[in-house]
Formats: sequence, structure tokens, C-alpha cells
Amino acid sequence: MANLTNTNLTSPASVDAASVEVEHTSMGVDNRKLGMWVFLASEALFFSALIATYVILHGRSTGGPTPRDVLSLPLVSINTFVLIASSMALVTGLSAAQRQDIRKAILWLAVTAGLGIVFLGGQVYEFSHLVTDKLLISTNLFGATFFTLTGTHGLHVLSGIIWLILVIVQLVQKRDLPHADFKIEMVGLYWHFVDLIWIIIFTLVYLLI
Amino acid sequence: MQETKVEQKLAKPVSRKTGPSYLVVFIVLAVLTGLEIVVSQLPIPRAPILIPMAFIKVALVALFYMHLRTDRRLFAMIFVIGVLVGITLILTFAVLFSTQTGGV
Repeated sequence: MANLTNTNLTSPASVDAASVEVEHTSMGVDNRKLGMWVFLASEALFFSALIATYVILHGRSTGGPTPRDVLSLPLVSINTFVLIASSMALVTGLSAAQRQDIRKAILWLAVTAGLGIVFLGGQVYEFSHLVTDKLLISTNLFGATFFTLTGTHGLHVLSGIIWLILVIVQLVQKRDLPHADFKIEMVGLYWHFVDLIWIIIFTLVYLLI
Repeated sequence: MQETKVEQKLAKPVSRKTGPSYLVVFIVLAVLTGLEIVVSQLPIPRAPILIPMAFIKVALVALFYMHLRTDRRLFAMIFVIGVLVGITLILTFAVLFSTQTGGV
């Protein structure tokens, strides 16, 4: 029985395989979690390409508006604090789920999703002001690279919110959902990664104008 | 006998919350962000200060919120390799295009 399979570990009769350290694969790690980390590494490369494009084309626009003309640091600073706070809310929810306190886990996940929506709202508000200031994706190189980079990040935040809502719905429908903490951990990894990318975007795009 | 050992191992809960609490990490992240904003307004070379600060924040999120500090080394290796290749990509392109001028 030393050679355990995924089937008997994920069956309802088995112990909570997701929340404990399990060596049930040839790699000695959970395949789902390994897959998530490989995905995040590929996402890091994807965002690196976008950031590289922004960096090398920075300051090469022949016409305005320039970043100094249109970007609002106070608004984006608030948005940054909101996203950092959402990461803390999510790990607090994960901690609650690991203590089998599903009610609190749901609450913290809802707070996380709510903060994510606030962040997206802030980004939509920012974009609408930029459009008013005559900066479109087709205006100049700054517009093209800025909207591509921050817009792609925004879409990732939106994906994270949808994923969070799906997990919340699952938890509300079934309080004794198997592997609840594992599901939260997976969405958490994705959410923290999105937060992590924003930390870099905030510095490169908004602080180093 | 072996089965019992495996089951005992499976049943053993994993304690993830070691070291500073999530709240402490959040406070440090918030303070660093505040400092970044202040530094960005100062008439000094900002990149040598702001980029390391951003990396510290990234490391805090990865180590404590993504649990790389206590999780399997393999996950950290996979992620760090991805990030390092990404940084290499950015630096390579920045150097390659630094001599070119002009724009659209």
C-alpha cells in the first residue's frame, strides 16, 4: 500500500489529502498544486514580456500625453493598498478554513472579492479619466503599452474575482465541502500572484515616471 | 504496519502559520508602499531605492502569503526560475533597445 494512488487519497473515506502533506505522486508533491505553480511561473514570463515592452518603449512616444500628464498617483496608491489588503483578507480566510471555521472563511473570501471589485472599479475610473484626457490605446506608444499592461492585469483581477465567487458559492452550498482549504489555497496562490505583479507595475509605471 | 504509518502521516495537520502573522506582513507591506510613495516624490535618483523596495514586497508576498517559506522547495524553485528568466528577459531587451532612438 506504500504506492498510493490519487484515487484512494481523494475518496471521501480517506483523510483530507489536500490539507496535509501527501506524497502520492512520483514527484512527491500534489499534482494540482505543482500544476498551479508551473502555471504561475508561465504567467511570470507572460507579464515579464509585457513589462519588458513597457520598459523599452517608455519615453519613446513622439506625441503626448505623457505619463506625467495623465497618471494619478493618489488614486492608484489607494488601489494598491486595497489590493494588498485583499491578499491579507484571503490568507485570513485560508487560515479560518484550515481551522474548519467555514463561516469565517466565506466571510473573508467575500471581503477579498469585494476589495478586488473596489480595485477594478478604481481601474475603470482611472481608464475613463485617461480617455477623457485623450489617452487611448492607439494614441501613442505610452497609451499602447500602458493599457496593454494594466488592462491585462485588470483582466487577471477579474478572473480572480470570478474564481473567488465560485469558491464562495461552493462553500455556501456545502459547508462540509471536501478539501475546502485546498480550494482556497489554489485561488489564493493565483490572487497573491496578481497582487505581486501589481506591486511591480505600481513601481515601474506609476512611481518611476 | 506501513499503511498505518501512511495514514498517520496523512492525518497529521500541516501548520502553515509560522513566523510573523499575516497582519504583521500586511503592515510591513503597507509601510513599504507608503515609503515608496514618499521616495517617488523626492528629488533624488529613485530607481535604486524603489526597485529593491518592490522586490522586498514581492518576496514578502511570495514567502508569507504564498507560503513559499514553509512549502515544498520544488514549488519555490519552479517559481523562482520563472521569475529569474522573466527578469533576464526584461534586462536583455532593455539593454538591446537602449541604443535605439525614435518612436511612434
